[in-house]
Amino acid sequence: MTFNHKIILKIKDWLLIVIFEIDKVYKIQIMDIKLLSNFKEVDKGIWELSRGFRAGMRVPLRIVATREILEALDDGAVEQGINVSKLPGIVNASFMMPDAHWGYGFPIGGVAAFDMKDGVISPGGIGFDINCGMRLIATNLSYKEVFPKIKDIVDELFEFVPAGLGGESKLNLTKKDFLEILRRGAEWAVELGLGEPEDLNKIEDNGCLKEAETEFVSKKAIERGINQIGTLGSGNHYLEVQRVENIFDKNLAERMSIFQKDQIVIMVHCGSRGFGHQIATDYINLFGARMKKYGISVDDKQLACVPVDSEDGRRYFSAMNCAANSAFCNRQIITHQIRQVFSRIFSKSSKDLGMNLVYDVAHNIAKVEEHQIEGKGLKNKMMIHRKGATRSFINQPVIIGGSMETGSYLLVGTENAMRKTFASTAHGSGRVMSRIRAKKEIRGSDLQKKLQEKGIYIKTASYSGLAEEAGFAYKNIDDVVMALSNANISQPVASFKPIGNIKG
Amino acid sequence: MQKKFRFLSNAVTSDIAFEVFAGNESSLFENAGLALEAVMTDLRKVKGVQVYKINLVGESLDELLYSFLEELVFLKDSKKMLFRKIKCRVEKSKNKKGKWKVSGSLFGERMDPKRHELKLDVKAVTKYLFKVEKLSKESFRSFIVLDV
Repeated sequence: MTFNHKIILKIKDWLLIVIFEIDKVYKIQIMDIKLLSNFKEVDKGIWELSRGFRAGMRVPLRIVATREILEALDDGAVEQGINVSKLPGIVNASFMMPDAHWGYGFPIGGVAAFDMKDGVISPGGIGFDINCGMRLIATNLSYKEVFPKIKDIVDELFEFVPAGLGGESKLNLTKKDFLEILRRGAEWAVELGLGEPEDLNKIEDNGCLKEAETEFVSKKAIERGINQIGTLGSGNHYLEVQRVENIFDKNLAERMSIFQKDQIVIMVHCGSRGFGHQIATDYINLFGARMKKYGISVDDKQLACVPVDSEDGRRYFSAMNCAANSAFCNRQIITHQIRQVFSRIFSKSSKDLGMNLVYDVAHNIAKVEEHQIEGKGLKNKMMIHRKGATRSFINQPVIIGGSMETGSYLLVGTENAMRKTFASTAHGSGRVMSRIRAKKEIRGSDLQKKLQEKGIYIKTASYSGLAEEAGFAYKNIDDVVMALSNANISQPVASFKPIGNIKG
Repeated sequence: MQKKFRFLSNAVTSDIAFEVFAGNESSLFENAGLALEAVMTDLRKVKGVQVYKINLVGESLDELLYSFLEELVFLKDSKKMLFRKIKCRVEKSKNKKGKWKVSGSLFGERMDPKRHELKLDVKAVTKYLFKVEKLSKESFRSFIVLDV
């Protein structure tokens, strides 16, 4: 190697270091330029990678994004979206929402519809945390009333809502109770007085999916989940006390119990805990072994799937509905615990505090829904997979949780979402930085102090877990909401800023 | 000493990816198991006072490692167990052609938030890019992604 070559290599090394450092500071993750050049904006705010891009793609890949979000998307997530487009019986397109990021199997923020006869059902298209979802509770309290007591509120919530690894239910359920929860979801809790009957009207599918048969649930799944009802879990799960920052649509906001700026609301993000995780694990293993029988092959083992119209498919759908019901019940019980804490601290009943449910919506689920593809005949029933994506029916509230630092949004579903994205929209702000890297950037205790200085009081079950959820590890939620609004697949109603947070 | 496992910062944005290294199949299982436990807790604070025996069979080495890790996740929720030491014996089954088996002991204790630093809850072991590679006679590597 000549001296000149050595110098060139050295300069190349320096440049790489500089690029890496810039990337660290500004979080620039640019999609491979060649890959990017293949995307065309086919509809306002919807970018398409055509079916001919890669052999085996049955439908195009469509990404809801602004140009900036598209350019910053992980190549890994795009590859996962392409893998989904190759699955049998996929209808119209493989979709990715603006908060999409690199997960396993489907990208997180992925949506796919499958034909009920020729299509498949895939646990990897739903996620391990079945019916992970968002719940928003209103209050008639103001920031002025709550802020002076936020430390007491958060401390008490932390005591009464078990959070983090090993968080155990305070309910002491029998197996019979647990099986009832799997069949009846949030109804079970309300009937026991752990909620108001009107809560059920404000939950997706009234908090109970009817096709839930417990005979398709393993003993292992029950053992994992029976002591976890009423617990938050860890990772990005949280319970947050927020104040209304902005109202974008006054009429709609009022219909959703949001009346003014600085009103206090409470947001909950959690799912079906170990029970749902085990259901997904059980059926991914089973489907991996059964695919050969159905003549199906997939690019990624995590996409293991079987025909929707098969006994295996029906069993998984039923077991998945049991897990979804357990998650609805989980969030209902957490709501009860929250209402009790607020009642004690403000010496008023939760009714007098106006603690109505705004809505509860899933973002990791498969549903049988009727949809019409634009310009193509009548409505058809399809198996809609949403993994890190929220249902966006016309006038339905959509809850999008952001990072602890940037805040969250309440949106409303649109007719355009019905036409363009199988009534689906985003679910959060979406990670841009891995957990391992985020932890290298900041210590959990430093982040806690930093946020306290900003007026956000945080209590966490894990400091390292807190560091992983730092705001810089996520896309800016305002950009994500702008992309949704631009594509008109949901429109903002109100935005919220955290003042207190329990991080699992 | 050879590093036994390494967490990767530039793979899978939302989950945890790691590589495991070992000189033989048995150590590979032990090291992969400890990496999974290390995601959940600071292993130095866990005592090895309770012992769980483990016996599993698998169609392939990959499948067996996957089942073994799944068992650790199951014991985390069902028995609330964390393990600081893992001893495994992995071998090809003599009776069943092509099958692999693992037998071993897991040393740990029940989670105690007062004493243990509890970190991330591992929801599941994923099959995404999951692999076991035999690099040479005495060198094994595995790549694993956990959903957290």
